[in-house]
Amino acid sequence: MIRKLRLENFRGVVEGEIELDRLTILVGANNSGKTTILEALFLAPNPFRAVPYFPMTVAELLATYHRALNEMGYTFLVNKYTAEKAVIGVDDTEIIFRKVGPHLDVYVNYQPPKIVLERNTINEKEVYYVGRLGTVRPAETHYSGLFTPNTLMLSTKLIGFAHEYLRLAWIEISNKGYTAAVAKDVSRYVAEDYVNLTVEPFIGGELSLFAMLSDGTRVRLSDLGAGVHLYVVNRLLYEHYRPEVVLWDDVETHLNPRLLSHVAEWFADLVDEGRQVVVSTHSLEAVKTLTTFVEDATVLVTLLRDGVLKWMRVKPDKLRKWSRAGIDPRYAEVFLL
Amino acid sequence: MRIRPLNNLQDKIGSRLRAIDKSLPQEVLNVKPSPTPIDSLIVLGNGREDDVVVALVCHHLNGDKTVAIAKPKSTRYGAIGELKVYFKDIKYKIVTLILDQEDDELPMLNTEVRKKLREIGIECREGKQIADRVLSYDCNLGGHTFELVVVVNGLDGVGGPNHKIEDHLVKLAGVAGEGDSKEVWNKLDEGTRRDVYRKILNDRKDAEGVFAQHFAGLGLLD
Repeated sequence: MIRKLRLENFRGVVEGEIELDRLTILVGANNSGKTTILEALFLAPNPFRAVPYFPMTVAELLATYHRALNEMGYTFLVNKYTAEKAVIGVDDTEIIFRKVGPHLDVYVNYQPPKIVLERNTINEKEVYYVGRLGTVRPAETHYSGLFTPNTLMLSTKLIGFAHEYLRLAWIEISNKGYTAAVAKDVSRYVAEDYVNLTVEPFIGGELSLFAMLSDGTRVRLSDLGAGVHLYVVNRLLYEHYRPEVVLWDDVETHLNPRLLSHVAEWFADLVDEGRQVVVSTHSLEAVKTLTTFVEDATVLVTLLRDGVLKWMRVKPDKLRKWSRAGIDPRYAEVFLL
Repeated sequence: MRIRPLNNLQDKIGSRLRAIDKSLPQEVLNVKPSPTPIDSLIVLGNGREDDVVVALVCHHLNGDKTVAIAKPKSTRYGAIGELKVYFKDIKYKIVTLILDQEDDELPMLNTEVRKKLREIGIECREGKQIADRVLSYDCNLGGHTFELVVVVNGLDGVGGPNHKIEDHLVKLAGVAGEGDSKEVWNKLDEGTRRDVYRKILNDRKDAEGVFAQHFAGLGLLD
C-alpha cells in the first residue's frame, strides 16, 4: 500500500506531500492538484512500464494525452517546463526527472534487486539511471520493472487509448476468460442481459468492441450509455492488468447513482482484497456513496496555492457533522488557508 | 463585505442575486478557491430570504473583507448546536447568528441562546444588548475566545406576534400590516419582491432603516 506521496516541481506542484488511505477520495476546486496527484501515482511505479493503453508506456500515454498541436517531448512533467528536476516520492522511493536540454532523464533512488542500473549523483544523492524521455524517439529504457506498487489510472479521457489497446490485445484478453464475467456484471445495471464481450468488424471493416446478448445479437459498446461503456472498459482494463492501486480521475463522470453504487461496491471489494483506490471527484453524491460503502475511506480536500499543495483529511464521521452544519467538502478550501 | 459560502448556498444566493442585478454576484460572493484567510462567520438560523438579505446588506459593509457563511440543517436555536463544528478547523474571532424572533420575548431568547451554548460546552457571559434585537456574547470554547453576535429578525408592530425576516421585507415593500408577514410576502408577485431586493441594494439609507439590526450586527464583522 502507498502511504505517502511527495511531489517536487512535478507539473503544477512545486512542493507537496499527501498521505493516502485504502480508499482516498480527492476533492478540490479545478486546478487544485487532484489530477496531478493521480498522474504522479500512475507514473511512479516506472514511467517506462507498459500499461493497458495504446501508446503502451505510461510516459508516452501521458505525453500523447497532454499533447497540444504537434509538439513532442516530456518537459510538461517538470514545473513550468523549466524546472531542472522534478521528483515523485512514493513512501521511500523517489523517481527523479532531470532536465537535460529538451529531454528528461529518469532516475530512481535505489538499485532494484537483481538489476544493475548505471549509478549517478544528483545533488550529492546516489541515484540510478532508468532511461530517457526524449523529444523525437520513443522513450528509451533498459528497465521497465516496478519501483513501487503498481498503479493503473482510469479516466474518461483515456477511453480512446484503452480502446486501441483492447483491439490490439483482444486475443489475450478474451482467452483469459473474464470478458463474460464483466458482461454479466454490467447486465445487473442495464435492461439487457449481456453474456459476453467481443471484438469484431463494424461497418467498413474497422474492429469494434461489442456486447453480445444471449440470442447472439450484438450491441456496439460505443452505442451503449456512456457510463456503461466506461465501466465495462475500465473493468476490463483492471481485470487484465490487476494493479495494486486503482486510480480513477473524475469517478462520477457518466455514472448514474445506481452504477456509481456498483463502482463503490467494487472499490469496497478491492479494499477488502488489500488493494488501494485513489479517486478524484467533484460530486458530493459520489463522496457520500463511496464513503457509505467503504467506512474507513478518507476524503482529502486539496488546494494548490502558489504551487504549494495543501490538503486536509476528512473522515466520514466528520463529513456527516459538516453536512449537518452546512459545510460542503467541495467548498472547504478556506479551512486550508 | 464579501461572503464565502461553506456549502452550496453559493448556487442559491448566486442565482437569486443574479436575478436582481447581474453585476452583483461576482462582487458580493467570493468563491475563489484561494481567498485570503477568514476570521469571521455568519450562521443562518433560518434560511429562505435571510441568505439574500444578508448578501445584500453585506454588500454595503466593510469594504473587501471576506466572511464565511453557512446554513446548518437545524434551525433557530438548533443552529447553535453546530457552532463547535465550525470552530474545529478555523478559530473564528466573531460569529454572527441570524435567527427569527418568532414569538419569543427577547429575555427568553437570551436565556435560550445561553442555554444552548452551555449545552455544547461553550462558556459565555451574560449577553449584552448592543442595538435593538442585537445581542453580543463573549464566549470561550476550549480556551479560544470569540464574540457571538445574535441578530434577531423581526420588527415591532409588523406581522403579528410571530416575527421573522419577512417583517422587514413587507415593510420595505410598503405592505406591512398585522397579518402574518410571510404570508403577505409570499403573495407578492416575483417582480415586486425583486424590486424590494433592488431597494436594499440601491438605497442604503432606506435599507438601513428597515434592517437596522442586520446592519448593526453584520457591521461588527469588520
